[in-house]
Amino acid sequence: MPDGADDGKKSYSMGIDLGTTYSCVGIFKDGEVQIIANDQGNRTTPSYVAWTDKERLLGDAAKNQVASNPTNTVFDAKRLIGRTFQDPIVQADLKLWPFRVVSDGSPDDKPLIEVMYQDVAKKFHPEEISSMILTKMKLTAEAFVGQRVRNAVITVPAYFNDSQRQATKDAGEIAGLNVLRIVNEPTAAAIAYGLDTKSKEKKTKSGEKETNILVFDMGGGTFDVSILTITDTVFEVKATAGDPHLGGEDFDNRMLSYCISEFRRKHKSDPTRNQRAIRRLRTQCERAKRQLSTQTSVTIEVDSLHEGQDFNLRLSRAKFEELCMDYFKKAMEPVSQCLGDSGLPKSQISDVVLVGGSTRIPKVQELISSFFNGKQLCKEINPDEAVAYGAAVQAAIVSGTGTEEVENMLLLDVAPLSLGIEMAGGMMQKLIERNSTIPTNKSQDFTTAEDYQDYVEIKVYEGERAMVKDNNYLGKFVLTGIPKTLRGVPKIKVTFNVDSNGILEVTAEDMKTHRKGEIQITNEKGRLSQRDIERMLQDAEAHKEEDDLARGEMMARESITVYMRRTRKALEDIDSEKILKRDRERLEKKMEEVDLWLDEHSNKATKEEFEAKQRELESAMNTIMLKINRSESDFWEQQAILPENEKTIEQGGYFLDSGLDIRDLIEDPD
Amino acid sequence: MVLRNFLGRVQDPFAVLGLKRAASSDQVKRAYHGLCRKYHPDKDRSVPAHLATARFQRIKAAYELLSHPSNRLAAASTVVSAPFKPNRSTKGTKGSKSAKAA
Repeated sequence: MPDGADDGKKSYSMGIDLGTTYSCVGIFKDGEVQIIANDQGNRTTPSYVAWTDKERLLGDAAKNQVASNPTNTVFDAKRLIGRTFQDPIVQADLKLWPFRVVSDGSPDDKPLIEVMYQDVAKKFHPEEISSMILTKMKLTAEAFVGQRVRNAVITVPAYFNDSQRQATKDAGEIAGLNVLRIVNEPTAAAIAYGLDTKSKEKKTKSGEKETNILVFDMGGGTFDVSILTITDTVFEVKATAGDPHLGGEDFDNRMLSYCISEFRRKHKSDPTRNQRAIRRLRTQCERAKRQLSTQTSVTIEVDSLHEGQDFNLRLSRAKFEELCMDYFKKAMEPVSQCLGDSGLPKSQISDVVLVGGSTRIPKVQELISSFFNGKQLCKEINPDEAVAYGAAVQAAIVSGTGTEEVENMLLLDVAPLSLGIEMAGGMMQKLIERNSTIPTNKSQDFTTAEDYQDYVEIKVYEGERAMVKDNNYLGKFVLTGIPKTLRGVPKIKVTFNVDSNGILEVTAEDMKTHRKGEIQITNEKGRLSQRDIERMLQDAEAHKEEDDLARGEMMARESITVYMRRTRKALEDIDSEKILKRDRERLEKKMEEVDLWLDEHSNKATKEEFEAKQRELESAMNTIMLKINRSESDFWEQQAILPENEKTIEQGGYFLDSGLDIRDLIEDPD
Repeated sequence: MVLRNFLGRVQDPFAVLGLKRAASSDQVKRAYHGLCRKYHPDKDRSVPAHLATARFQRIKAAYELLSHPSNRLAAASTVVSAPFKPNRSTKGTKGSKSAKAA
């Protein structure tokens, strides 16, 4: 029986690891983190969205049909998010994607993904694609807890820049989520590691101990390194570095090009333009790569790949390592940079924690281990789930829904890149240095460069180079109405504010007139406007039929369980003299029957079936209740009356036949 | 490097962390973590976020001052001698005082 008659509603907050290739969701429930399996029973869900003739598919369903529908199956949205179409990285990726990516044609040069749905070309922002994946993860969590979940912590690579963070937050908003926090992936993984070791250490000894760890997080598309100091329950990030475009997919691509060149050599024909062939080959490459982590050689086989020719290739682990060696070596640079920034010598790192699927590659492990002079690496935590685990813990911390142990924890994270403004001569004036603990704010006074200048243009950049042209431009704003006077006299105070999500907001104030200008660093570089987001929210509403279906089922299930609970309570409360023993028994029997039915069908019944069952129960109940004095219980009184101007569910409203408002049954924090 | 409060007044980093001048580096760290648990913007919802951030950053700055041995010598010697005097450079502190603080 669900937690007693007391239906004290608890709202849950989830942690979502929104990955390039796979996503994972966790929730803090009953004192521990649960990683939630999706409707296919998988604990990670492919970050794929596909459009077929009939419907939109998400997750496993989308990935499973990719070979037959390559141009309308979208993935890798994380490699596009927060970037411009002309970004060299986007231009390079474009050539490998079977789906079409175009520019939106505006000065912002945002990339759009184009798919054909029911013979109409539809264009989507990367944020929208990500929002669909987030929706899938949300539904997975909702199915697990049996109520609506809106609060979420979403993770991003620590080395994601401001635009990418902001765009990820927007994706959450489009999915209808209340984004509690954007958390860095390696930090989230460190929480999982910290809780894991702590629970083990409890048995041996207690007391405050300080450990420095390095998290090496290499996933499907991004790569991060973070160094943290863990002291009891305080997780302090010392430094972070990485490459937001390096991961397993790059290795797949290397293998793919190698296979294509082999095919060309053997068969004198080029499959490059054959999208279906490429997709099938890529899937086999990905599989072979995984196998090479445990085997020393594999055979890549694809029947009738192109023009009736089969493809068959024996690939050794050594060859794979040779193909990807430059990537592996490249991954060691952020490790030494991060160490240097942290100010810690190698010997002070007590554990190297591996996170992300690509850390299963033996060569990667070997390189890290030898970098740390043959150190044993920590593989204790699940590399696919650690990030979602930590995110779920952080969700519990931020929303205050965790246990005491969790609420005691504190995360001190950093900004990954220096932030500053352009000075005369194109120099970068840094206001916030990289690896500064966030949230942080910093002000600096500036003045005019010319006599009688009455406005200043403030251009904001991120990056480490001395000249702004070598750094990443974030946005600009103009502060006008400065009293005309000689140069150097006006005092303009520029304040940078980086919040706990690592998102920057800049304000400028003329200290004489107190005129202010501000921007949340946004637009220009690809961020969606509020109006865009609202439009997308409406779009998402319009084509979320399947979501509604799932939600309908969930609500119906919740409704009947709550009804059962209340009936039980009412039955207990009713004076035994007022009810015939026979009636009571009949009702109890009915409830037992429904209980059994629920146990058996709760996961597969449709909305209609749930409602039918509930009606059965209601009618049995109502017959009996009619016999009983109405004034006996407020609850039953309330039942028969439908509030004015309200409709039942059948009429398109929110009320059950019994007069219950279904909105009351579903947790909504707003 | 000098620590200042909202009004631009010079502040004693030891006072910010609630420590005596003779505090060990271990005590400095423990005081910092304790204050973080209390005043980090994630924990302290009683004040608006920007104020919480400012307070947290002041604690952080005090900690940074005191966690580097060289900064710490300077802080221990200058601020104590001139808590109410206008801002002065922290450089050029007298050796004798530094030695006493260490």
